Amino acid sequence: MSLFRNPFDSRPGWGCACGRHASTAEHEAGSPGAEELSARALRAAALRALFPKDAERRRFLRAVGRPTAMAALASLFPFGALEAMAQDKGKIERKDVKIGFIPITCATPLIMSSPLGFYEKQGLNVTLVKTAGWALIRDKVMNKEYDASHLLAPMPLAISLGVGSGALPMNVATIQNSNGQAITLALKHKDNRDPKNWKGFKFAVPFEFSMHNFLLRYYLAEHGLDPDRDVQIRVVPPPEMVANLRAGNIDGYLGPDPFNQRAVYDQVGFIHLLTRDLWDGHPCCSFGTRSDWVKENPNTFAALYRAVLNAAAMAAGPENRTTIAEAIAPANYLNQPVPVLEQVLTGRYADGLGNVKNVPNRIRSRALELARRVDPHPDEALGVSQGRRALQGNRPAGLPHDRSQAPHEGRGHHGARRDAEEDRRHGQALRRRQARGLRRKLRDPEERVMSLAGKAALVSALLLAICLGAWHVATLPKASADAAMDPEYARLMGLDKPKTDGLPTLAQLGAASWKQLAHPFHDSGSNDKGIGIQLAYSLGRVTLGFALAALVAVPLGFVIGLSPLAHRALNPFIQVLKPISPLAWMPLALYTIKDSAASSIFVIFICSVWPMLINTSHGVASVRRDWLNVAKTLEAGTVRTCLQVILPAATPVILTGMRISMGIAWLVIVAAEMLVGNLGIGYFVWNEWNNLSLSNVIFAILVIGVVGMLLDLLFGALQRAFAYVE
Amino acid sequence: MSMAPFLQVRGLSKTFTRGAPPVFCEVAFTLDRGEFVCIIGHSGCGKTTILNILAGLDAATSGEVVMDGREVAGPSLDRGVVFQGHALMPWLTVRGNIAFAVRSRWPDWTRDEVRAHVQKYVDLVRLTGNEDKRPAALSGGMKQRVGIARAFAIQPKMLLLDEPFGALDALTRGAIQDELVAICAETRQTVFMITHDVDEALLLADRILLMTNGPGARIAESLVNTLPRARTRHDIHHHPRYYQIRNHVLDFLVHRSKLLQQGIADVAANDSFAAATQEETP
Repeated sequence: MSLFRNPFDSRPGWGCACGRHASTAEHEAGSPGAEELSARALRAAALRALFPKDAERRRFLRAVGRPTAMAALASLFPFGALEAMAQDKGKIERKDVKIGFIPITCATPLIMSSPLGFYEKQGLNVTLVKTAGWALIRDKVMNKEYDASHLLAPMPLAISLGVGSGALPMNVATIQNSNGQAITLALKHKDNRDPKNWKGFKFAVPFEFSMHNFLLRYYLAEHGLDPDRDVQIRVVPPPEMVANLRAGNIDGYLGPDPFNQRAVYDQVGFIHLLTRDLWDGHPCCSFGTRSDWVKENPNTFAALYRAVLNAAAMAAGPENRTTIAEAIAPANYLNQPVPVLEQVLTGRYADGLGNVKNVPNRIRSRALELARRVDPHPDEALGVSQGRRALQGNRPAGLPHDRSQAPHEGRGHHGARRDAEEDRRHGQALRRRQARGLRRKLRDPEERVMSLAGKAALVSALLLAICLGAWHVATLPKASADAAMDPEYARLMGLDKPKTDGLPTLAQLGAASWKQLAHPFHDSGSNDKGIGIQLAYSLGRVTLGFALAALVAVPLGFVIGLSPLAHRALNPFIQVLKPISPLAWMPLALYTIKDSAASSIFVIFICSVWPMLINTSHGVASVRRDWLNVAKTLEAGTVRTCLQVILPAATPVILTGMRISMGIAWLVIVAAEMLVGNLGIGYFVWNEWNNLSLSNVIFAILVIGVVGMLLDLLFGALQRAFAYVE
Repeated sequence: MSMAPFLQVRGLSKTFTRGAPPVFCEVAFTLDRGEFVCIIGHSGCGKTTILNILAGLDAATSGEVVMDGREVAGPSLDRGVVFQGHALMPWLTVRGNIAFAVRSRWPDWTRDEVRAHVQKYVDLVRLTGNEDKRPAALSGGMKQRVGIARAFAIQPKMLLLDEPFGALDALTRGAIQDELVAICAETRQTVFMITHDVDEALLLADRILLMTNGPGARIAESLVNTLPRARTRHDIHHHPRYYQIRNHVLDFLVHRSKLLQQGIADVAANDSFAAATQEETP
C-alpha cells in the first residue's frame, strides 16, 4: 500500500503502472513530476486516514464521486498550506544542511539525492554524515548536530514522547521504505531451518524498539519458542552484524540490508527468510527532523522534501537502477560492493545455499516502488536482464580489485621464488654484516655497542620475516569451490574473481596500504576522506583535549603540590575520578555538551588530566628542599620561585605525566571515535571493519601504532631535553 | 667590646616535638664583623638548626637573633648560605646558578652587568672556562666552589656555611679550604661555619664554638684560635700551639661533650689549658 498509489481511484486494479492514467498507453504519454506526486501523496494520506479499509474507501468514492471527495477533504485539511510547503519555492533559510544516516539500503532515496544532485538542484548544500548507531543518531538529532536524519520508523515517535531520552517534538517527512529486512543465519545452520530447533540460539537485532525486534519475536513465538527464554536476542548495530556472525558471536540476525546479502557475499551466512514473508509492507525507516527546525526553516525543509521526492521520480526509470546502485555504493555512502547492493535492490539474489532467488519486492523504498509502477512490466523491471546488464556493462565500482593477484598455479611458484630470493638476500646481508663486524672488531676490539645493535636488528628482521611468512602461508587462497556451481550464483557471490576468506594476503594488504598512502589527503565527500585527513582530525582532537588538560592539570597540580591542605581536600576526588574509564563519560558528555566532537575532546581531556595532575603535584611536592631554601635565602618571590625553581625542577616529572597522558589519549581517541566520530582514525577502523575490509583495518592499525610510537618518541625527546642529573 | 657585636644570639632554644626535651637550649654567642667562627659538635646537637635559624629558614622556639642591629625574622640577601649538599640547580649552568643569585640581589641590572659580575666570582673560585657546564658535568669540589661563588656573589653581610666540604675527599677539601682562606682574607667576610673537622676549624676559624651533645645541647666553650693568621695547610701543624689546641678540642668532643650533657662534668672544671684563651659561656 503506497502513498503514491492514487486512493481516489475507485477501481480495485489500475489502468496503468502509476495508477494515474486510464491505460498504459495514456501513462506512457507522461509520467508525474515531483510536485504532482507530492500533492497527491498528501491527499492520499488524508484519505487513507479517514478510510483505513480499502473497500470502504472505494465505496465512498463510488458513492460521492472523486471531485466531491476531494472538495470534502479540502474543507477538513489545509491541503493548500501543505502543498504550498511541498511546491512553493520560497527563499531557502539556510543552504547548509547536515543529515545523518546509517549505511543501510533503507537510506537509499536519502543518499542518492546527494550524488545524483537532487539536493543541489533545490539549492541545498547537504552533508551526509554516516553515523555509528541508532542511539547516536538520536543524540545527534537532539543535540542539533544533525538538521535532519534517517531514523528508525518508531524513533520520531519515541523522541517526541521522550521515551529513553529527553522529549523533543519531531516531524516525519517521509517513510523511507518498507520490507528490506531478512533473517540471516550462520552457514553452520544450513541444515537446521526449522525454528523449532533453534533453542539456545543467539540472535541480533539493530535496536530494541525496532521493527526487527518485533518481527523476530513474532516469528519465533509463532514456532513455539519463547523469545525471552529459549533464545538470546541482543542489540548489535547493523554494520557490525556480519562481523559478529563471522566471529560466531551470534547464530543469526534479523537486520537491514545490505548486511543480509553481505553475509551471503562473504560466505558466512545464508538468507533464511525475507521479512516481507512475515509481513509484506512492514515499515522500517523514516526521514525526519525536529519540529522546531521545521518551524525555523520551513522553506529549507520543503526543499529537502522536494529533493527526496525528485529522487523518487528519477528512480522511476528502470534504466536508472545501475546508476542508483553505483551512486550509493562508494565509501562515502554505503561502502559496499556493487553486486551486493544490486542483489538487494533488484531482488534477484544468491541466498547463500546455492540458489538464485527472485523476489522483486524484497525492499520497497519509495524510489523503487515508483520504478515498478512506471514500468509496464513490473517483474521484468527488477528481473534478470536488468541485473545482468548492470553487472556486465559496468565494472562494479566498489569491488575490491586486486591487480596483484595472479592465478593460483602461478602463485605458488612465484612465492617460492620470492622466498628463495629473500633467503639469498638475507644470507648476503648476514655475511656482509659479519664481515663488517669482523673488520670493525679488528679495528676496534672494544666496540661492542654496534655489534649488539646489529644483532638486535637482525633478530628483529628475522622475527618480522617469520611473521610475514606465517601470514603469507595462512592466507594462500584455497582451491575454489566445486565446479558444478551455477555460474550466475557464482557471479552473484563474487566467486568469479579470486577471493580469500578471512585475512587479506600480504599483496592485498600492500595494495590497500599503497592505495591509502598514495592519496593520504583525498577528499571524496564527508564520509570518505584520506588517511592523512583522518589522522589530522584525530590528532587535532587529541591535541586540543590534551592541551586543555594541561592547562587545567599543571596549575592545579602546582596548587596541590604546594599546599598540603589542597592535597588533602582534593585527593579523595582525584582517587575516585581517576579510575573511571574515560569512555564511561561519553554518554554524559554527549547529553550535557550536546556535541559529539566536543564530547570526544572532553573524553580526551578527562583521560589526560589525571596522570598530568598527579605527576605535577608529585613533582612539585618533591622539589628538593635545598633548592627552595636557596630561593628563600635569595628572597626570590613566589612567582619567581614557581617559574624559575619549582617548574624546571618538576618539569621532568610533569613531562613523564604528559607522556603517560598522551599514550592514554591516543588509546582512547580510537575508541572514542569508534563511538561517536564520523571522522578520525578510530572511525576509519570501525567503518572498514563494518565493511569487512580487513586490509584497510590492518593498515589503519599499523598507522595507529606508528603514530602512537611517534607521539611517544616526541615526548621522550622532550623528556630528554628537560631532564637533568642531580 | 665597646660597641654592640655584629651578630648577637641570645637564649636560643628549639623544640621540634611538643613535650620532648629541646634539641638545644639557652644557646648564646656573638660574632664580630669580619670574624670567622666555626661551630663543632656531634651529630644531632642542632648545629644545622642553629645555622638555619641564623639564615632565617627556621624559627627558634625561644630566643632571638640580632644582626647589625636588626632582628632576624626571615631569609635575607644579607646572609648568604652555602648548603651542605651544594644545592645547585641542576638544570642551570654554572653561570646560570650564580646569575640567579645575582639577579635576586640586583634585579635592575642589565644582562651584561650580571654577566660581568658572575664572571668575577667564577674567576674568584677558579672555575674560569667552566661557565657553561651544568652541575652534573662538574666534580664534587667544583660544584661546591660554585656554591661558594653563588653565596659570595650577592656580597652578603654574613656568610653561613653548613659543612661545605663534608662530602669532599681530603685532597679536594684541602685545595678549597686554601681558597676559602684566601677569599676570606681578601674580602674580610664575616663567616659562621659548621664543621666536623677539627683541622679545618683550626685552619679557618678565628674562634671555635664547642657544643655539647643533644638533646639539651649547649655551647660549652668559645675557644679563641690563637694560631697566627696567614695559616696554610702545609705549615699550620708545625706551630707549637697547634696540637695543644687540637687535643683540647678532641678531648672535648671525645669525653666532655657527653659528660657535660649529662651534667657530670663541671663546665668550669677545665684542665690546665693555659695556652689558649678561653671564655666560659655565661
